[in-house]
Amino acid sequence: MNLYEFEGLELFDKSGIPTPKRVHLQSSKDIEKFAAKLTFEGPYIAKAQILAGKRGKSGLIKSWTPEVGYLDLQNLLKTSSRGVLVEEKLEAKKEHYLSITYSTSKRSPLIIYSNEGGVDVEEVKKFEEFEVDLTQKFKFNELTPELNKIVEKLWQVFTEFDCRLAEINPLFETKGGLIAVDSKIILDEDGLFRHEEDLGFEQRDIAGKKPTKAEAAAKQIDKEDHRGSAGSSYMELDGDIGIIAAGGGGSLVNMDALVALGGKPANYTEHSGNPPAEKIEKLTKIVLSKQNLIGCWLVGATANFTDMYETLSGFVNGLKAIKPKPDYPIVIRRGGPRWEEAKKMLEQVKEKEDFDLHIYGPETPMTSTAKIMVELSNKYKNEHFNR
Amino acid sequence: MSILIDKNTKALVQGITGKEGSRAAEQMLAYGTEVVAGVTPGKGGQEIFGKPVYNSVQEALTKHPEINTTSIAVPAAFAKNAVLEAIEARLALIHVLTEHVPIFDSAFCYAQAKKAGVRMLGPSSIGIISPGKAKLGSIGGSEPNFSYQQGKIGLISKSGGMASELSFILKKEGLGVSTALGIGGDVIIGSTFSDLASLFLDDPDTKALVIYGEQGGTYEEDFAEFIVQSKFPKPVFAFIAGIFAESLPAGQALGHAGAIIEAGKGRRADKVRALEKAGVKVANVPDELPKLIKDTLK
Repeated sequence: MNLYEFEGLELFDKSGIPTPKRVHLQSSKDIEKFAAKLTFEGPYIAKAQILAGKRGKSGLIKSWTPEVGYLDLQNLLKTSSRGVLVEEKLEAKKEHYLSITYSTSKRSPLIIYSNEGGVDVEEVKKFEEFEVDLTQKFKFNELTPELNKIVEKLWQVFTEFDCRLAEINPLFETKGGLIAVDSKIILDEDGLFRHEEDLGFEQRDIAGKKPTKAEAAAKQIDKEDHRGSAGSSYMELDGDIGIIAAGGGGSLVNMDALVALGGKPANYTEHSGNPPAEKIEKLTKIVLSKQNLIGCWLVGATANFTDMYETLSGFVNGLKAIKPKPDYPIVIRRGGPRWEEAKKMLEQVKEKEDFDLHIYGPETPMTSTAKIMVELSNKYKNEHFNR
Repeated sequence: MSILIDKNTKALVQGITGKEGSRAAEQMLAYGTEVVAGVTPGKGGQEIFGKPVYNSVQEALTKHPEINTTSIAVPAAFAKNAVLEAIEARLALIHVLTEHVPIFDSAFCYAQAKKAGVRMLGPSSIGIISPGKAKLGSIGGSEPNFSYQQGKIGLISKSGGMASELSFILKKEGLGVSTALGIGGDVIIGSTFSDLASLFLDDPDTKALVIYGEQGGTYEEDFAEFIVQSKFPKPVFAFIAGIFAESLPAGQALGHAGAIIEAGKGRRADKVRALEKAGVKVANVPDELPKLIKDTLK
């Protein structure tokens, strides 16, 4: 989970890392109130709260004075995802860079420091890296005493809140000491269960946008029923082929094949761990209620333990509920426990209900059904939309 | 031959009374793997599949000193303690099936395992199978013979599902595996492509390696470097996913730190380039692998 600057600064406060005086203005009303009664002294700097970097270059960080009025702040608020942060503008003698993250090469946390912090820091060539030995009690004295103290506190943030990344850039060196002027924190999703009480951050996806209606509905499927997973990973996309993919790795492999052939997924979703039929039924309804689909692809590797009859019964139940009745091609490729039974059931449904089902088992390479899907859906599109 | 597990494997299953643990244990027994006992704190004294359940690893080892391997399938919140218990007992091979283990816990366990000189595989590892000999974890499900047949290829996969799919693709073309392993797709893992390749190097029956990798992290690039540095003598084949995942708007780099430590690494294209430069043959789709292998080994 990526945190906004103001949320990261709150974590710094909790761990005793010095931060600027500031106020987080979340609405027009907040801005009017602040402009009317300044709660701390200027000069000020105003920052839009968005998750993307390079805010300065995009005009999302601005100097602000009460003399110019509060319209500037109102405009900044419009471009921001989570309000505007107004801070005291500090003078830096020097800007440092400091972060802690995991290195996969070293398979340990890594402290990264540079005395040339600020924007474009990734172009700086001079970084010092310090591997953390987790079998020892943490102690750090590789830099100046002032910096070491900040490293120790940032380590506290990194471990206490299960961060994937804890970054201070820039870390201002001022007359009054070191001050963290920006924060970039990424929390480890798998560690969130340890922080339900101390971190009350609003849910978001990686890009920081709120989930769409369909995405929220899909997430709900897994929330209500913990057997297997189906729905948590659902993501709406711009394409026209409905996707019901299985398995973490297999889903990625198949999507790669589809995209490489020019197929445009209407969504992404993967399911695994033998979810019950009802969950697949709900997921199918969400995937296929999207308008203007030209195909549906239910695809997965040969399952290790997911019951195919269960999965495909759920799919068929969902399919039957869609109005108007889908007449576009539906390509299915699966294999695994009870596949033969599932196949027989699908063939009966195809005959009785007159769906355009194309059924493939493990004898057909899963990625080659990407080509079948793209060709059939293009044909359907030409016949129905390009008159 | 095979690596890590064979007929001499005497396994413990931690979390044996849970859903994942009992399923794994049942499958392992059905495959002829010697599951000696299980552990679930608070359930000591019970029996499952005719095997005794103990409260702790230490207790199980006191009663069954022959145990040399453990498979851990406990909830994520308890995984760290379960692994540390196994490390303390100096079990040589610690397989972690549990998914969603916090990264800090994995890094902590890896550091402790390394210090103690024991091997950790996973977390999020589907397991290990040496066809015809033994299996650890849920790899191959309840019908491992469907996907896995004995042969001369070492298979290392970040994904459990893709391990079985690739093995099945090989089997259809008459190729089999010496040992297949899921290493998990987590940020920090106990055994990497490079770690396991060193073991396959010493296995005379493994003639080639197949790996399945994905975007993210540097394990594939590190492996490419390992191949070059060690002058790895066995042919290596790879399939790397990531075209779609990298096209998503949500795909975001890990801040500046990510750009700094993974400079020029991490994306699918980076991995493919590094592996090809090291002499690895990279397939565009998984089904190309059998032909690539046959052309090289002939």
